[in-house]
Amino acid sequence: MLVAGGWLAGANPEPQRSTSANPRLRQPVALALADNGATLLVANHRSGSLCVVDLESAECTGEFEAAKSLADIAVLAPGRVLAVDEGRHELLGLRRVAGRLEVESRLSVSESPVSLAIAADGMRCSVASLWSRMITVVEPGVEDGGDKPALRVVHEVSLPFAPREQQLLPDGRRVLIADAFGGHLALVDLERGELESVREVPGHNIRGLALSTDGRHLLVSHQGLNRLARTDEDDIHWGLVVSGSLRVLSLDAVTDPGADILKGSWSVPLGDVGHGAGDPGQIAPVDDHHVLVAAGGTGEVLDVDLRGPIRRIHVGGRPIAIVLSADRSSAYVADAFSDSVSVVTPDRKGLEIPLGDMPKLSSADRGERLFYDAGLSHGGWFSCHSCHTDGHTNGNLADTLGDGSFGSPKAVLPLGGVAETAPWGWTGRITRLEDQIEKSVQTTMHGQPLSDEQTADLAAFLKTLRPPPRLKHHLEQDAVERGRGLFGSLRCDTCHVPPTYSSSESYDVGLTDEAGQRRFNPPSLLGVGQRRGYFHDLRASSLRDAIAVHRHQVSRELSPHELSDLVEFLRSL
Amino acid sequence: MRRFGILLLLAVFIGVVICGPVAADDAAPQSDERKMEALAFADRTLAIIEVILAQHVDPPPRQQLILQVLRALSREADKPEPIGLGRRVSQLSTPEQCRDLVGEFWTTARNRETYDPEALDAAVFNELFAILPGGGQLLPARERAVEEQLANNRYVGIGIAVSHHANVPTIHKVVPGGPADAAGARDGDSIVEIDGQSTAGKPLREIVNLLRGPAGSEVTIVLQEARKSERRTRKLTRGEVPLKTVSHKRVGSNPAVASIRIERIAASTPHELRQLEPVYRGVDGIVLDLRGTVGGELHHAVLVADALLDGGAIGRVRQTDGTLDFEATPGCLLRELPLAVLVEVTTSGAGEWLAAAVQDNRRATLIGRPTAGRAYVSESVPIPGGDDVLVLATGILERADGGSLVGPAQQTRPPFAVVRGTAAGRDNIVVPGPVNGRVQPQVPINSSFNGWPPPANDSDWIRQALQALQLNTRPAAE
Repeated sequence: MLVAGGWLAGANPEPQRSTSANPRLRQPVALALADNGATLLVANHRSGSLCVVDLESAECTGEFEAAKSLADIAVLAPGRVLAVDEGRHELLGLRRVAGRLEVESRLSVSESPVSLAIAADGMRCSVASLWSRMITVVEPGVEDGGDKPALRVVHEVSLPFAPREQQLLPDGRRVLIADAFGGHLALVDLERGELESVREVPGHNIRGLALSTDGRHLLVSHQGLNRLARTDEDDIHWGLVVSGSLRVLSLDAVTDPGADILKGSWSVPLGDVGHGAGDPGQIAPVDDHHVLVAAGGTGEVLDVDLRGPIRRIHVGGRPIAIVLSADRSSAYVADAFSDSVSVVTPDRKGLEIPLGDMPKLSSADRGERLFYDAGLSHGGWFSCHSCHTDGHTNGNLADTLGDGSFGSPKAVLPLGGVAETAPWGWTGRITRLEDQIEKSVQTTMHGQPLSDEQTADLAAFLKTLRPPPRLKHHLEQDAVERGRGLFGSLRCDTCHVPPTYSSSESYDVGLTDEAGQRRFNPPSLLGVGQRRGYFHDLRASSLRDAIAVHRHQVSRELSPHELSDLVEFLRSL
Repeated sequence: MRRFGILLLLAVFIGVVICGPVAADDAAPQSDERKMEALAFADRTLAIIEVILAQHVDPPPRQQLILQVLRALSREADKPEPIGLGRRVSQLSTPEQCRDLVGEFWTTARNRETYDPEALDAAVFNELFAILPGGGQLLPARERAVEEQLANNRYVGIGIAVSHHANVPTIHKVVPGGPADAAGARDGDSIVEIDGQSTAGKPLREIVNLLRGPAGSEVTIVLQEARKSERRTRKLTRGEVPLKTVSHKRVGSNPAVASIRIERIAASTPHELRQLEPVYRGVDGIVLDLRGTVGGELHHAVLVADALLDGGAIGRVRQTDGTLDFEATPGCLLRELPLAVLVEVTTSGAGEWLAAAVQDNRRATLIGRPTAGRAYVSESVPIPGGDDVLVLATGILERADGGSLVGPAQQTRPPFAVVRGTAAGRDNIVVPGPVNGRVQPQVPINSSFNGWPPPANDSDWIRQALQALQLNTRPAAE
């Protein structure tokens, strides 16, 4: 029977097998093939459990508690599996013994680990941590008969962006790491623990990285948001505002840190009028011309011919992970919102394998499904998540009617803690969360009007969103305190009032937008260190610039120390 | 004439033909009634003039506009222009005086035996718009709605172009993929009945109105194939009929280029261009044909320019209340391939703005002949007191550095005139207009061809484009 709720603390907790008689939300987000392709291991984000699926009988044969919230999983060697627990910030080493999965080692890693990659020789493993912007290089340890292998941190590599997807390169020792929000791509050498380059591709929400079967290209699935387009129905109809792409990069350009990463590249547009293929996710390359891409926002797998034509295969709710079968004749898709694994062949869907019973959904659960549903927008080109990535922001400019007009694109606002920071929008006109939700769906997404229940569900979900954790990186407490003092003495707290560091009025702070608007509602500063640009038009690319270069409401010159202290304080929020 | 292309397209869709003069009344109208009509005409004309003065980016003075109207009315009255008319207009100082003067001249034109209100209207406004930089056009609001649909490429209808053939409405062209196409309608079919009503004797404008309707609504038509007696009844559901704005083909094999033609710039154009990237990414170069490219709305031209440029300044638009600059976002289509752009005098408006932008950013080599030099951008503005709209130039497009794309002498003459040869369009000759402000190609074409429309199979231009792109040799092996 399942041990519900609390976990057994300690190094080697006894995993329990749960029965499907106990309904729970699982949210499968990662897959790994084991046993020469006979078994599929499924990592569940919501339940923190691991499901084992027998592919021959097409059923879930076991579920094992392992973590608080699993984000990724990979097979290290026969019988040995690595997984990341985003909830407890740990890398887990698991062993498969007699049909069971046991956690045999745990390693604390940098905050919010979300993905892992294993080097070809199995000697190194890379864990990407989202909010701490860190790559932890771990030695998984070798078996030496009897002693349980230990996980050991070898390097820590700091990144200038929040990472998510990873792809090991053919040389076996370097890994390409993609931005969780924007378009940055970092090249990290796992042996030396060095950041070799950071480059950028146009686009955001990179959720799929894969090597092509011909070994010459890197495939990247992502979206793009064009600030020159308007969120009116016509621009959305033609996919001009947000659209998804499969970008094909030349591997030579990728592996050469000094090269223009776009040299020799080209893109396949993934959506078309009426089927926008919102939120493209993981990629499974089938052969030199065919690639499968999960479309999380539309519940489809796209069968992409790299020469252009695309077929759509309907699967379960929010498919985000995909792996090819051992014989490459079919693919397995993790349906995050259906708690199932769909089997697809390159033109149709086969079975849908349920992982267990699902309970009745709460209002917030239903709201979460709406948040990630591209069907909320006209043509299915984007979901709320496409811009407000996982409840945060993709860091881009969008020209919506949020400010009352077109022609002055504004920064997409993060939604962490949004329920507490009324009024909403850059001009702060809307004072009821349900009204803001309805306005966004109608005037930004031009979808079908929401029912009252749907609006309430989305509101319930938004209320669960917290501001991101601060960017830790050894914050100097003294500096933070001095900075706090400055924040008060410079009267920043007049508009950015604690505890939300926002207020309900709109102020003229010397900024004007293209439409002549001068009064803006101060956004909350909670989690401000996790943003990539500041002010309504992202004119400041760092906190330091916002104060020093743009002189945001500083009444006097600040010394370099004072500037550093103030920035340190802001980063502590 | 800037709107030549849209007008042509509209004509294809609406097939409007003004049918004959209105039959004259038998009884002589009351003089009071005549006075009311005169004042109504004057009010409307002056309202239009006020709109021009308020909204046009660089209008002529009021007195010149009034003078132009009076001259037109004199011509319509078949009377010589009175001596001293200019002085009279200069002395006008109140709106009432303007009104009375226009009314007086109108009455003279009205008294002609061959008076036809529509023809008089058309003649007067043609003359008035002839002195407006960028031209002008009066449209009933309903036609403006159609034009907006066309600009956004969301045209709702059954997907045919209809015209009159021996007084019978005939399908000039069936749009592929539209409702009529799906129902088996063919080019040349006559439409004999619409929703049970015979079409015989009805003016084309009425036919078009019967065929149009909201998306999802149904219409039943009876078709008859040319020179056959059999009739087919079809029930059609009106829907969106997307029209291709981009045509393309692969030319050559080693080297191979993609020859892409932008027929007109509409909302769907960036989307259509983007679909071409996986198709043509293996070619050696792109030839983008902007000859005859009609630019529509500024917004769509900005998005097309953005699609072709990897960052960089696109250009600017000068409007009555200031100047707006546009900058391309990072990333562009077919980034790795060299681009040649074909231009000539039929490249005008937003089309030549686009050509200037890719030239200034060194993204493309322009080939051909100088463009029109008439880069205005138009908007439609409602006329108070009716439901007409006035389409007029509300902006002047300029290069990013402020370089003019319009001659210093305001471009009131059309950029080119097509002197028609035979009715079938063969042997038309293009006569270029004034030279100032035109985008000059880096590679002038030595072609004596000056016909219209630009030929579809254009090996001469393509060959010169390949040469300019230095693609006439085998590419080095990878």
